[in-house]
Amino acid sequence: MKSIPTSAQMLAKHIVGIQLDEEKNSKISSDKINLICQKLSIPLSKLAGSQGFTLLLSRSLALTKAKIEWFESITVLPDGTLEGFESAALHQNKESKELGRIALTVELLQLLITFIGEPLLIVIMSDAWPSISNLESEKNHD
Amino acid sequence: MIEKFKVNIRKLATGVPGLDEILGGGLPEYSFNIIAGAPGGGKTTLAHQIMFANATTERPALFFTVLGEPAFKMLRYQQQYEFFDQTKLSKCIHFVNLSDQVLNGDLETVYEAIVKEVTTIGPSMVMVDSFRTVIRATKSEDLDLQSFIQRLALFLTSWQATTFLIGEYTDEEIRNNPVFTVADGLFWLFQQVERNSIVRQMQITKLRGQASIPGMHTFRITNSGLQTFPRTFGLTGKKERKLHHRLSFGIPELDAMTGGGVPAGDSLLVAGPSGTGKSLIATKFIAEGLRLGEPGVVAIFEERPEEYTHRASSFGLDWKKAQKDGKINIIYLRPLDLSVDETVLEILEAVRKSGAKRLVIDSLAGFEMALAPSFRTDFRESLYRMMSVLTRTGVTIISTMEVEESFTELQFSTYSISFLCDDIIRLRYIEVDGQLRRALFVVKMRGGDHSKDIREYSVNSVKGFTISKTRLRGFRGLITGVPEAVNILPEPTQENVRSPRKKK
Repeated sequence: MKSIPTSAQMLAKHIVGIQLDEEKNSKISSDKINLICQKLSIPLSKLAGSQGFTLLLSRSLALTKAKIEWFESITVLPDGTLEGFESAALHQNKESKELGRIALTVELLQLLITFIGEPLLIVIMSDAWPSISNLESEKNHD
Repeated sequence: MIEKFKVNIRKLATGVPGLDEILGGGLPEYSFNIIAGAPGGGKTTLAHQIMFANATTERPALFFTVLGEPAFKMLRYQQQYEFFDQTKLSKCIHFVNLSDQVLNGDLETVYEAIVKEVTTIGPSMVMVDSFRTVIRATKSEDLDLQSFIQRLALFLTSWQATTFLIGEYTDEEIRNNPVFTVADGLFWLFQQVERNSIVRQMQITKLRGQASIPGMHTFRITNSGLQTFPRTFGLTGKKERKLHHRLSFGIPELDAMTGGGVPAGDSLLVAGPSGTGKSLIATKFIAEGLRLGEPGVVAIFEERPEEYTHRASSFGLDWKKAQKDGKINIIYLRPLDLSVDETVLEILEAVRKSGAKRLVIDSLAGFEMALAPSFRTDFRESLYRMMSVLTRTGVTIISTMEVEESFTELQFSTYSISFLCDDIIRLRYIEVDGQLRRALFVVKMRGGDHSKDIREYSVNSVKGFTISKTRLRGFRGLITGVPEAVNILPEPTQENVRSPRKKK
């Protein structure tokens, strides 16, 4: 049975997709997961302080580690960046890597949805990813 | 100073029901205010409510969070309130966390961070929650602190921001803390837990530029946020209306005894022990109003509305239909943590909405029981305010009051509130011929003359409330409840009253 994607999953896929597209267009390989974290950290640190963001990311990572074994060696640095993603993903194929990125993003977004609710999260995220608001209105039309 | 040369201070609507009246018309624009109180007192909720009411795209608000309640949790909880409009976030309301600056730096770093955000966003309203944490965490010298507060106040005022600093302060801190000197407005929120009741009160201890209403005002926090109950009940500046007609009780003999019914706009007290028919007089009064097309409000504290309606029906009065038609409004108030102000406001609203001419409060003893314990201590003063406020609307009030029956003395009421009422009717039991019978008399009618008779009456479901047409004669000490039989003197007539003059 195909499970219905949650809001956090849809949002996560959307922003990971945007980062992949950006990378294709710029033709420069980048640390996508850290780019996502960095983009999220701007509005979230403004709202909750940099420590607040780092703690949320740590919790999300812990939740992801419980689901994906190869995440075990990844850590969160005090400045709110992830360390060790690329080396941990070295032996993973492209699809697993992308699933890993999405999984961590889902956990972070789900955590935020749990605390502040989806509408407020959309407001916060739309500064970094303006197309998020369109995604939300499309969902409402459906 | 000539009126036209005075600066006009714009008053902002707070969005908190009742608060604008307490503040003397609203929040002075560009004022620098403090919301102080103990944890759980509603400080953040008050700040948010004011902010959501005022923030627009053109006039945004900036909310600085510091150490204390984490921002995510604050948003999590605050969005439960009806005033929390998510569409205002980001464009109209900006949340900025200052924890890093507070933890890592000194007051200068905090000041710079505030200046940066304010100059970028250009807010009309700025809130810092909790400001006290800023001061505590930075551990600055007194002089630095004074300078910081002075600069901050000056900066925010210059940038045309109405500011609220929120903090967990205590009364003792007022003297030594420079922030209280600089502040234009000081909002204190208090809460007391008394047995099973929580009593919340607010006091505006300082407000520059306009006259706020002094004293403690109760408030309640519901899903809609804060609702305050000003001690003036929205009637400031309104003059008393002078009315000259009378309202019938629906009991002809009682109308006659009172000189034509209750003077319109009066407050009449029906006092007597349990079972003497106080509520029935009140019921008949409302029913008579219905017959004459005058809407009524009944505030009950003991019986439930269904029971009250059922009892009226046992006397042939159909109140269900009248309620449906909006001609009678029965308010049932019994949460056991009410304040007098809150109760009066609810009654006032019902009177205003229905245009009621008649109001029954049944009973004052039940009303007292419905109040939180602290309000019971000054019940007499509260009743005075309640009566004067309600009668100012022009509504005519009948209150019932249960008094303990004593067979040696006569009480008018348990609270010595007789002076608060314009008129008093006293019901009591008397022992006559081995029977417990009922008698009534009119103690006072401020509006004019009244019968001095003590009359026997009966209460039954067939005839209702029936008063004898003549006074009880042949007894002495009727008001003691244990009268003695005496020889009946002839009724005074014109003939025997005039006879002494004839002799002259």
